[in-house]
Amino acid sequence: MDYPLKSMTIADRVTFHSVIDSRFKTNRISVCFIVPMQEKNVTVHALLPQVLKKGFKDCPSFTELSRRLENLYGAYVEADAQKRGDYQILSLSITGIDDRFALKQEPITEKLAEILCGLIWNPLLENDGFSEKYVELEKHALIDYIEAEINEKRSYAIGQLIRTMCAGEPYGIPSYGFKEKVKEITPQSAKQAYDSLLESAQIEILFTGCGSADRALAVFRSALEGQKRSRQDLIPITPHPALEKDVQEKTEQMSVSQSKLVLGFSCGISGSDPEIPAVRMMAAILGGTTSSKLFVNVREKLSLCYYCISRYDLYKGILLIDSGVENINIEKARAEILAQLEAICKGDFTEEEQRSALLSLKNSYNSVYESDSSIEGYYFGQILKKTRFTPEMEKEKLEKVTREEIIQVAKKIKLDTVYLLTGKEGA
Amino acid sequence: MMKQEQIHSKILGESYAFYRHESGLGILLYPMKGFASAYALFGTNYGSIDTTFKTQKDAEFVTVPEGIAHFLEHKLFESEEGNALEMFSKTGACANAFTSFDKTCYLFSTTDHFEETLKILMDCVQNPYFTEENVSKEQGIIGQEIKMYDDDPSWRVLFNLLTSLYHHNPVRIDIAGTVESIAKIDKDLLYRCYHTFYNLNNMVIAIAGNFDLEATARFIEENLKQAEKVEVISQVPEEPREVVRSLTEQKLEVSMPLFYIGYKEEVPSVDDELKHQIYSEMLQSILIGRSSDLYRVLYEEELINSSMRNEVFCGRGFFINMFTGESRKPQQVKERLEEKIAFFKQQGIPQEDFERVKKAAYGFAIMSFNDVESVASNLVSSYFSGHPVYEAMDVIAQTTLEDLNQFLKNSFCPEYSALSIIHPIDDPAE
Repeated sequence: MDYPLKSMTIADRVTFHSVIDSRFKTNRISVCFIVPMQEKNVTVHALLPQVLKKGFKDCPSFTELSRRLENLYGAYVEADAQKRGDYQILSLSITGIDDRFALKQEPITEKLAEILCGLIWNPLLENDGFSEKYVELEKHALIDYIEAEINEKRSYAIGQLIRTMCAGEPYGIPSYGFKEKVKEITPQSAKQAYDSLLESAQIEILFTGCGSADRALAVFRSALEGQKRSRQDLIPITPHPALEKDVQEKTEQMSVSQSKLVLGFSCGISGSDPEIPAVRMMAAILGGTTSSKLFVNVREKLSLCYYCISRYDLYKGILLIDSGVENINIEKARAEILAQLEAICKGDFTEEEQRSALLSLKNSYNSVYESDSSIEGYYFGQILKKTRFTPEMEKEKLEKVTREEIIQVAKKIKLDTVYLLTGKEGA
Repeated sequence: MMKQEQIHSKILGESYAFYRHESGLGILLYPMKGFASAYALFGTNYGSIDTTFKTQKDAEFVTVPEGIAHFLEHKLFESEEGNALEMFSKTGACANAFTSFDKTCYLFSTTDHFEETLKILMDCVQNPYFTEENVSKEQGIIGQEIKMYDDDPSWRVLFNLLTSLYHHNPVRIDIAGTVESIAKIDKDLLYRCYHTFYNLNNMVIAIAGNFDLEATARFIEENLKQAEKVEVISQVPEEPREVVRSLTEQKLEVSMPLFYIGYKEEVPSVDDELKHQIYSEMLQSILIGRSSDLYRVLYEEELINSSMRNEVFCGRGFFINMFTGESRKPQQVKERLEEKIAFFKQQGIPQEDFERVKKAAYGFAIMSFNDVESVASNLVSSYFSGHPVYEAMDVIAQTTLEDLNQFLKNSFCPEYSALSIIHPIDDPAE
């Protein structure tokens, strides 16, 4: 089978990729900027996609933009800043129905590409900076967003674990930056950050849909013409280093009736490392499925947790186990989770458990092609890891993982940090 | 062999098959060429609001503890052989179940071993296994779940709105019930609810994606348990349009106040339900959607942020136009929204706004057929609401400006509305 992702370099370190799939009724275009995660610009970067998505020179307000999108049959724009390992990824996407559904045969997809290019390369400017109104509004929104992290206790606890475990590493920097830094941003400083982002970031444009990508490609080519581009390549993916000191412990108290216990482990296997399939199998046997050790033993048999799940972050080589527990069960749950990991190291897992883990992982690869956004997400992962594996190839590698390889990688897992969010005394 | 009816959409160039099994079960099969996975739902028209009911054979209505539908859902995913989720994961499938206000669904998604997985789903749902011991264990697990929801500001803010709007309709009670109410559940009550609501006449099977149509129809028929047709009569209490109270406030650990604004609407007939839903969605977009003047003004005055959402919240016996988000001044958001409502009620909806949201609604309807999961879910909701799944596209196309103006006259009425707010614990505004 051919590699479904067709790629074409259209400027220095700018690549246009497409996956054409006739089953969909939509076309989706995403532009992703990849930069190293850095404390000095993480915050302004997190702000940029939100400012950019408000409008552009030929469409100078958010209201007007929203009206244009509605007239394009409810097309929508998404803007995001996220963290993958030590990279910060800023993206703007646009999705709309295919031209064949237009009621008056008007072209939709080309218009989507024009709007997306406008938002990115032709922004609203005033006084050598971005629109002051939108910068101020989005600064406040970003502060609110950072403060709101605490509303979702489960993800808050995971975020706190990562910050504690990876303090001093790029990955330990919060995805959306720092509240105090937001306040310092001006329309001019945001514009400078934008200029340097456009020049230095690695840019990946992904087209996923049922239509033709040709018109969109032409729109992007002309948008990029004459743009100044740096040739400096990104640093490769590196795993979190193994711990040389005692396990770090961090506890916070809040008025919650259910405590959150998160365990972070180092493992040293990341990116395109050949041991990745074995790690994924190990994590799935441990706590990735409903027949996994954590689910069956810790949750079902012992009723110690409401949920207890393990996941492997392959961009940073970290295993995370997160659980929701009652206060009185915290110690028991922690001991039992570690005992389950120990069991895998000793080879105490059945063929049946291995088979269930394999099936579940294969099923998730089988599902890659089920939506435009999952196709995009999967191939974007390949681009980041600098690999060219299809989901079929990933499945073959998983099938070849042996019992011994699973035990081998399990033995590399070292508890690094424990984070606990617990109820206040008497609460 | 069951009789097959093909339902076709000219716009999408797609079709699906509908079968009515002799038990009364509806079966909707929507093969989607080229997709790798199949997504199957087995659902019953039974949710948390069905607390008082009888069958055609009973003389009297019975009232059961709150949260029992959700309790049943938890128990059915456990058979004599153990936890059903474990059985599903042995075939590599991803399974789940959920209970809403008016339905309960069991579902899986798989790319492999489709028939084997479908068999597990059908067996679980058709073979209840309740013992005193497993019921009492579940009381502990669900108790934990209820506690988790007690901490959840976005859940509380919704239920505080529902209890403000509804006097009697059980939509006001928590889906999972309370620790006290679930303590009253025992195995006999579970069997009684099961035999009432899990009869095939009250149920549907919907599958979308990668499977063989004829073989699957046969397979379903072979794996259905013989059952007597039961007719369920759920008692929906009389509910006035008037609300219980117009404001409910609570303090929880949040960074900014969360709010819900709700307009309690007249409950439409089955025939009108879809129309009312579509009109409401369009009106919500025109009033305060992203392209509206009101959204811009409120956003620029920082009275709302991008978390602002609107939703038509409806089911058997309830219908609410809802607006939710975060705001430092939720009362002002409501006031400004109501100024706009009054303005449109008086002046009518501008033609241009109407044309635009109509195009957008059409596009969203098409997008909802993009993947197997949303197609299968659409099939279940449309079946229980009594409208074919493609009907929404036709209703949108036929909607006129006059329809919207007419509908607006008796909807979005401030006198039948309520506001629910969750404040931060240490609110500086006080």
